[in-house]
Amino acid sequence: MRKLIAVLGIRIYLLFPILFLFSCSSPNKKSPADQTEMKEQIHNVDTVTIQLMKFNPEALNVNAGDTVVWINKGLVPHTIKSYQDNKFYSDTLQPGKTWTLVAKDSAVYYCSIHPTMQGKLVLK
Amino acid sequence: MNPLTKSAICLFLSAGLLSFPASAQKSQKLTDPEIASVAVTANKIDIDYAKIAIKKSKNTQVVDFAKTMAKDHGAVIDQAVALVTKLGVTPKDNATSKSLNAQAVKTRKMLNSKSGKAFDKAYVDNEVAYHTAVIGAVENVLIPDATNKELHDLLVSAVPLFKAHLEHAKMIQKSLEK
Repeated sequence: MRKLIAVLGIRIYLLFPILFLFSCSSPNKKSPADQTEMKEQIHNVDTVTIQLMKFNPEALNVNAGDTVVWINKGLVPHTIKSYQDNKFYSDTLQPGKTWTLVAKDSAVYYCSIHPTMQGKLVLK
Repeated sequence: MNPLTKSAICLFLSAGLLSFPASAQKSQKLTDPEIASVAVTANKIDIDYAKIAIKKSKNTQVVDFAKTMAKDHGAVIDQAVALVTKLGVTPKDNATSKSLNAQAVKTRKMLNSKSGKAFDKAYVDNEVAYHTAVIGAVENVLIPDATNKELHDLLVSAVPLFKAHLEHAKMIQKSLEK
């Protein structure tokens, strides 16, 4: 009888840490590292097409960390340059080429070669 | 487009400071080789004006604009030449392209006779008038007359470029008035 009680006691003692570990790994409670990974996974890639002397879409709604790709489908070279404190500048983008930026903030931009061409990134 | 409409465009353009030649609005339809010739000639003329401005102007805004004109119109010529080569079309000199060149000789002479701020004003004013006339001619004569789809599409895609040039020239024109 004593032997049986002792065996049961050991089994229960071993079972506690296992149950504790399972409760920590519940799918509803992610660790901070897991949460960061999830956020990175939902970052989008958006495209702005440069065609017929326009940025299309002219205004793009983005989340911080989203990647924006400009593709020049026009006849001539263009640039993508922010108005505010030179936040970004693409240098000359030849026809058929792309330029990529990770959005950090809202910005109004233009083509420095053709200043009538304007666009904006709007942070959601 | 009927001959009456073309004549009306001709009259409208002739009323401007600089007119696209009357023959560009003639009632007889231009052929594709003639359209190619007119398109290349019109672009070359603006490159020549730009070269004068780059050489003569001291105004950064004017020089930068002229450099853009030289590059952009050069790019349009490259596309047009590539297309006619592909299609096996030889641009054909015609009354319109000849008339454009004759007008350009006079304009170059006028530009070369000026200097300083007077030159900047004359160059930019001419760019506004020239692009206005070219856009009208491309939209109302060359595009409707083009029979080859690729030539038609190239002309259509060039119009927004010319319109952006026109707006840019108007911006500089305003800033020169200050």
